[in-house]
Amino acid sequence: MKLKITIISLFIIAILVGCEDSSVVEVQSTDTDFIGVQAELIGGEIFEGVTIRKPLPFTQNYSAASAALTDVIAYIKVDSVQVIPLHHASDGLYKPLYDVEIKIGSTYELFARIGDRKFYSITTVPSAPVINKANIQSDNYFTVTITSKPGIVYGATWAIRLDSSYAKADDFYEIVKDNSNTFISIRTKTIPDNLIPYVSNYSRYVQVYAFDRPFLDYFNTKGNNQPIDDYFSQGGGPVSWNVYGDGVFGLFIGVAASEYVHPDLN
Amino acid sequence: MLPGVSTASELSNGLYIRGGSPDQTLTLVDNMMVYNPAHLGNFASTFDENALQDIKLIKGGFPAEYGGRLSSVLDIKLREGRKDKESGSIGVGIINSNFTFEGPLTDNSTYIISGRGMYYDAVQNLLNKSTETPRYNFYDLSTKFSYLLTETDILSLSGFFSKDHLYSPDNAKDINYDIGWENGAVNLNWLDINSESLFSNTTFSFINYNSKSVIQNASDVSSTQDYYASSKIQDVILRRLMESYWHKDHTFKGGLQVSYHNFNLLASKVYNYFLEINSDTRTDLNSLEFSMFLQNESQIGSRLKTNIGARAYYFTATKGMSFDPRISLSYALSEDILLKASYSVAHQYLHLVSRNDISLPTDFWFPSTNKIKPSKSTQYILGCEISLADNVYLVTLEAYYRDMKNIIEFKENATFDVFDTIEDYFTIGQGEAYGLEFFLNKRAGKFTGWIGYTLAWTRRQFDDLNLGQIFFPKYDRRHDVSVVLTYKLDKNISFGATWTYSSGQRTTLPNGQYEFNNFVLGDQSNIYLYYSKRNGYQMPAYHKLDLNFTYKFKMFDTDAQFYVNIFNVYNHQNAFAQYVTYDDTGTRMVLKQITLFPFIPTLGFTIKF
Repeated sequence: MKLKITIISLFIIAILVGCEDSSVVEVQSTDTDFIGVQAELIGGEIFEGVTIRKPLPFTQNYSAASAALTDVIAYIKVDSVQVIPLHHASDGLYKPLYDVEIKIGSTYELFARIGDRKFYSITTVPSAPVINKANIQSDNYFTVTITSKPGIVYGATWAIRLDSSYAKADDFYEIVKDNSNTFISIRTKTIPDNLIPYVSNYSRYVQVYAFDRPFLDYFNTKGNNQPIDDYFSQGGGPVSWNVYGDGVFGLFIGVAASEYVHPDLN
Repeated sequence: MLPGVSTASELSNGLYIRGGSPDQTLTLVDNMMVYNPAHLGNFASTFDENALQDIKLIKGGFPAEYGGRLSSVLDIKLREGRKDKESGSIGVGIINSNFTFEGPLTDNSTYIISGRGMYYDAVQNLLNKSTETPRYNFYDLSTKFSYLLTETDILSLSGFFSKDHLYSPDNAKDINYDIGWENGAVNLNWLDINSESLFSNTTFSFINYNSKSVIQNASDVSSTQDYYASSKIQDVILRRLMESYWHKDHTFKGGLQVSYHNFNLLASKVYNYFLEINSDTRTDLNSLEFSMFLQNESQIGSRLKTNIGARAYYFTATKGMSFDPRISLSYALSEDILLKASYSVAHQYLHLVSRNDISLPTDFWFPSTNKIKPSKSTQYILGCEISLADNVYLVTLEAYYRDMKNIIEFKENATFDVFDTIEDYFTIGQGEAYGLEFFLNKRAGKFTGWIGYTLAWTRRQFDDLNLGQIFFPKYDRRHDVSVVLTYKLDKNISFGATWTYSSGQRTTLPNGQYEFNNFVLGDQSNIYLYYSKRNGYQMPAYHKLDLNFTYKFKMFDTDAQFYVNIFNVYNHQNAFAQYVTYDDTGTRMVLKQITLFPFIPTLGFTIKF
């Protein structure tokens, strides 16, 4: 009997140990042998350059200097004719040696190489959209109507003039495409409550951006790149990019902005 | 643990056979179609072995008498109760208990009722409340009444009921969840022996299945992981099967089946009680399914066996017919060597869709409709069986290839808005699975057991997932090994050991962090995580050793049995999940791993009377 009690007692102790809380251990990070590229080519403005960096292990504190790739050979080609070499300026930003104005309707190609790895992208700079109509909606967002053009996608944003600056939406509510020459309607994100006191007929504006087509896929998938911090969930997956090459991701995108317009009440 | 059979994770509730998802396996219990009889965590077998007469697992190339699923068949027959006397058994264990009662009801009728319960959650709550591991319990009940109407007519009423409940502990920090699934099935079966060579079997089944997944952020702030899915399914099935031994070398089978399916469904990005009770927000779908099959099993000469047949379906919701040819051959090269081959086409009209981004069971069933076409698979299997040492050893080698069309997943950006059409949540794609299985079985002697090894691949391609590129589903396992050994020291004492190893689960993890500015909307930059592909990361391999010891003895003139089971003997920290989160300082991201089931010993006692 004593032996049986001892055995049962040992098991209860073992179960107590066995039911301990979930163990959490740090493990090695995943690989980071990738290259990230970002450039926006805004019609009518000076080209700001192309950022070429490597992603850093997420276990490391991020710094642009650590992520910078400084020995990339890169150039852009305009309308298949003009070649503009890019030079490393700082923190992975590659710029032309002189100011280059981005031309509306032109096609820009990015050619780049680092070691044996080559990457490429192409974009066309759309023409600036013209707002036909802009309305204020009851719950503090705006809608605009424009004439769409094939191959171009559109997003709208609100802007509120403050004392000496503008507050602008941090993102688009939607990116809208239409391949025919028809009127399309686009809405902005909602204006946050803390800005409502500053909103007046004179301080509120709406603006529309036109992007080359790949921006739509990027916009629709960019939510996949958020961190996940509970163990029953996992990341959503890859984002759609338009820079092509082995282990290369990024966006090289033509964009043009409309004039600011005051929205009217419905 | 057989080659080709795996689970997706310790918290997955289904069998993944040869690269197919759990819904691709047809599970029949006494001819009752059961939607999800599986239990979590490998703590208990899917079915109560005290109630079973026969288990038939057909991993592919199943004959025409089975249909409605793409991949495999698990056909369970419940046994009849004893005719000679009342008997039974009661087993009590630390985390589970069971009972079986059986016997004659009258001179020509018998009954058996057998049930199990598992209450690991109660043990956790009692002994260690602070643990954050999921709480889990289940029960199941199998019963059968048989009545000999005449010498040639047997009537039987079978029932199968199960309920599983997985829920978060009170002290859950990140996420609260309340997940359950219930099976209820009743079947009336009339076996009519028309003559020595002609049998007919008529069954009438009612199946009721409910599943519910409620997943909510613990902080009361809504998140993309918030999810509520509910599937309530009711089926009424009438089936008539004829079996004729029309020639000593030929057996003909034919059958008709009419099934009425009612699906009452809801999938939502939020949960509140009103969604659960408000029928207006639920989607109600009804469909009728007609199917028929013909097949002929033949022995041609002394060496060749064939099974050739076909199955046809008409599903009213799709207004379409489909046709499944099935051929399987076996050729005895010698007395000890058997070569096998099969070709089969299968269609599936009822689909299980689960969230890829959540590691908890999120079952959601959906029938084919005008928009959701039936899934289709084509399978090819080649194999050989070699018996050695007077049939003591059996070696089996099998290679398979299966392609799958019209398979269904949730879109990455599915809205889960109750006002949207559920079909809009889905995306349609294709897949393939292929592999090689090795099985060595020692079937006789004091020392028995088997070694199984599977080398397998399974892939998926959806235009709307992973940017249209091919990806591995979570349950893709390149290598899978199982070793199951039993040693009977004498007629009363036996030892068992089971070692399993499988390649790590696929998951989606970031490959690094990068900085992107906000494009035209400002100069502000943000740090993002870069995910190169869906399920592109493989977690460490899963392996564990389980041991058991059984001692049979007499107690008060009755048979009794004492057992000890030790789960994960060497306490291997198997990764249930790996995830990215911030460290304690909140400034640096780290990759962490969580283990759910470490070393767990249990013991129990069974008395038979």
